Amino acid sequence: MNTASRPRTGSLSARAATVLAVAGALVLGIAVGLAVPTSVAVAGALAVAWGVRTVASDALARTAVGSVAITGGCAVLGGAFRLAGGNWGLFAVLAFTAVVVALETVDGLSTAGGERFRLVASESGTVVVLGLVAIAVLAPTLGSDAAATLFDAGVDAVTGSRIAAFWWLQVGVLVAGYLLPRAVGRFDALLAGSESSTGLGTLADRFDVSPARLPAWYRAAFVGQLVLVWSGIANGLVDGFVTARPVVGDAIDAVLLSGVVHGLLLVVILLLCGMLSTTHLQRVVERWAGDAPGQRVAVAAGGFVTVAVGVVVAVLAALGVVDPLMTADNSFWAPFGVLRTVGPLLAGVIVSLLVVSVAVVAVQTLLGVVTPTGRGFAVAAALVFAATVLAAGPLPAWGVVAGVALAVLVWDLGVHAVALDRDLVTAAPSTRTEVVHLTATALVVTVAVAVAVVVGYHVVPAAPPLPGERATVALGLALVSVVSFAVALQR
Amino acid sequence: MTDGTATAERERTDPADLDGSSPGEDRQATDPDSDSVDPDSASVGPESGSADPERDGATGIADDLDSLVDDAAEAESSGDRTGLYAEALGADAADATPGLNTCRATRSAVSESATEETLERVEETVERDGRWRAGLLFALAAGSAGVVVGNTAVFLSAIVGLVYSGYATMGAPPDPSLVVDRSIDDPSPAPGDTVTVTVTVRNAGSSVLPDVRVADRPPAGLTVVRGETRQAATVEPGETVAFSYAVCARRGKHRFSDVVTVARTASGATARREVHATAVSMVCYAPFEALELAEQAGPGTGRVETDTGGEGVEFYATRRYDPSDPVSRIDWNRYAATGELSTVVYRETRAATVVFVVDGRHDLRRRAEEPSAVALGAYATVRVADALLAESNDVGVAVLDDEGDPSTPSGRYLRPASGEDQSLRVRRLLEDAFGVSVDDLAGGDDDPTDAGPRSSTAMAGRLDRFRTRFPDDAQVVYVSPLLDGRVTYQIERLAAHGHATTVLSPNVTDTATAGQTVEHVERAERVRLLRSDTEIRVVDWSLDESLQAAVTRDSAGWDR
Repeated sequence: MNTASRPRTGSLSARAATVLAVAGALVLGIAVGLAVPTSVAVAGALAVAWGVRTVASDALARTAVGSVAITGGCAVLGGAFRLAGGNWGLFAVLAFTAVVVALETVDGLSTAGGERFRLVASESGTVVVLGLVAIAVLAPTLGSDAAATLFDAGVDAVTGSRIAAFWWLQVGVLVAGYLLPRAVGRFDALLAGSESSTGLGTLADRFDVSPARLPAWYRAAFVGQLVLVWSGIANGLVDGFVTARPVVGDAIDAVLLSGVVHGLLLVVILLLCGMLSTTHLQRVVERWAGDAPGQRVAVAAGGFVTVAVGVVVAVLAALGVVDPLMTADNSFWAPFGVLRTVGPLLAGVIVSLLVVSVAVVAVQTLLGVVTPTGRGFAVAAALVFAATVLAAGPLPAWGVVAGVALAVLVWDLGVHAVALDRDLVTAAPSTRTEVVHLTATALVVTVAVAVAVVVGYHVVPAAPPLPGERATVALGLALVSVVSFAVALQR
Repeated sequence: MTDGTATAERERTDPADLDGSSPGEDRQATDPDSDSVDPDSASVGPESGSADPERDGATGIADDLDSLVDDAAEAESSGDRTGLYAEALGADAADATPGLNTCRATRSAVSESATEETLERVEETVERDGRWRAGLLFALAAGSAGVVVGNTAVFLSAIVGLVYSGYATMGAPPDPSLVVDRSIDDPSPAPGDTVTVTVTVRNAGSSVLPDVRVADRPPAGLTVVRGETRQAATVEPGETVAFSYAVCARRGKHRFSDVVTVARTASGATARREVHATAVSMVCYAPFEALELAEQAGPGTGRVETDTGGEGVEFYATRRYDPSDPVSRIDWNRYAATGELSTVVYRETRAATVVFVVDGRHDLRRRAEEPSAVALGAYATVRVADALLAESNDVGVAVLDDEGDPSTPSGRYLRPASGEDQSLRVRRLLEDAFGVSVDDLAGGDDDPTDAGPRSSTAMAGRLDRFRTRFPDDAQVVYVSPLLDGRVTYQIERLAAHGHATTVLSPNVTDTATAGQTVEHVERAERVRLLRSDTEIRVVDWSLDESLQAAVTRDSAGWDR
């Protein structure tokens, strides 16, 4: 991936806007009792932003690290959301603020940055989904009692009677004989040109027992045996025959009823199935890797790491080292063994990747339609404003005013940073220029907060009370008149 | 404020930006090629008139120009030379300038380019962005939210928006007194040299300028290799802000764009944008001096040294004294030693007749941004022809391409002739044949589309028919990129027919891909074979060096 983004100019203003927005979100979170989830969400947002920038590197190692950062950051955001509990509405606004302002600062929410994020989310998410499916298919009941129960039931079914054991033995031989030459053929294809594989293929062909090559009488006998197994008619006759011949009978029982031979046949069949699936798996991996397998793997590194972490956590949970995250008293997950730990973890990462992707796309679409001057900083300022309004209840008056002032400051610094980036392209402005602007705007906003606080604590209490509705209408009209007067004055 | 400057005040929804359109910048937004063309050059453009398309290619042109030159020889005596040029070229008489005189004029212009200048402010505009609207929007949103949620603090926070709006509105636009200087460390660099440009902005006023943004735009076609062309700073009274950047020089005359400064208030809501005009340009010119010719010469007086004795400057031999010999040529040393009178004979120098055979069949280029083989061949032909014409040699041109009727015996051929008019004819012929105009600064300019190699099947017959028209004592300078095997065969035939042949080959091959490497190796082998097997003089001109450097290097090993 060679779409490296250049460092933003106006970095002091951009970083100041980011710090203020993030600090504002943290303070608001603390004020409403969401300190921990907000802090975690901020960390996740910063990790996502850093990952989006790092993924653009030409070095595969850095691309992989960026992918891990993006996936991990989204997972952290999802975990923080879970920690938020019931107050998820305000938390979502705060987390979104951190994500938007971090992305805007690092990568400018550019089209290229959005594409990189979506690519990583798509590739890593796909790997996580496949990992989850693989675990669910290959080890659905490992680590639970259901696995042992299923195994015992299977053994009983296979070795329930001598006729049934003999029939299942034939099934195993037929299946193994069917798979053997085909598996060896695939093996030969992988080792094209090897002399040793020729002999093995010829030998395997001798054991080819495809259904078409079975004689008709055997097919009839096979079906007849199946009927006898189902009906159980001949069980007594066979048992009597075997018990009448102690030596031969013991040998027959050892082969048929011990399950050892059946177990060996099962292992052989599983190995042959594995060999047959190798080429299919090779084609799938080859198609997925494409022309740049290293790049593809690096982009999906986040997914691989997530699956690996999930497996490690599941193993630790199975060993009792750690407590599973979501299975305390959940009877639904109880029969699923390790899946009960890995499943929610991986599913949470997938959902987080999806939600953050949708959020990033939504912001980019909004910016494309509205095209605010401050771009992502304008969105962040609006979110800080919205968060302040949502948290206005438990906040003191000066806190609310400070929150709105913070939103104004974030917007102003963002506009300044975007303008510098546009005017100077790659040149860096002097720090003094940015400090002058920052200082002037901060001073004005501080004065505005002071004025508002003075009005709120001294002027408003001194005013005569009015009925609620009249007061509301009066306030609204006063505001509209002030705004209209200001607009007219400008024109 | 400078008299005559325009001041306009307008409100922009977007903050003022250094690339905002303005009449000053509009006049800079021209075709980049126009900045690299010397308007005083003799490159004849389409507006100067073109040959009648129904006439037979260069034959008609050559004949017409030849006849006109003959008339010019008569008219010169009558002082009506300029009018004849105008008739030949279709240009205004006042604009017709002989090619060689243009070269000399250009060289003198090089030394006249300025290295430092103070730019004159020609335009200024006041711009206000819409930050006050954002303040009002915040106020309205806060007030509305306060009313909706019934929270007094939220409603009162509208004051913050109102105060910010007032802050963004207050304050007059800055009235800076900026003095902008630009200096170039080398106004006449060689192609490929790095030129450092320094822009200095001084606050000559008495007020602090909290936010000054400066943007300089290097000439079109020049690549910035180091530094930044823009800067932003806070400038106190008397303080100077400077920044430098380096560009890689390319052939041609490059005019610098105006410098734009934007001075903003501390809030950033109001700005004054100024355009500072410039008149400085940079000329990048690679001079070409001479090409060493073979001994084959004509009867006229020139600079080609021959193996015959006569008038000259280099000692050749002595002979018996003849009473008609001048006293100054008597070998007095021999007389003092032997008592016998003898006369010193010097090596006679004569003028040569040189025919340029220009291979225009391959319209390839090494890289997309570089000239094509045809353009380079035309450029080399013009430069070498001008140098030879300056030494009183006769120069002619034969053009080989795939256009035109191969059965036509004349094709595109310009008979050898001397004089300044012949230089114009050469340029005109090349432009008509290949669409390439060559001026003395920029080299060959052509359509950058990559056409690919064309068929060479018609080449052999046409060259033979040209060759029959060459003077017997003519030397041949074969200008070709040597991209196919047939050209070496043709070169050998020319040499076998008694024409001293020099090959001038621009190298447009590259080694970026496997196929290009094969082509590069094959071409190198053709050069080697020409040099070693047929002992033909070859100038292998790489685009990474000047033409004169290539000629000087390769001619060092030539035997006379």
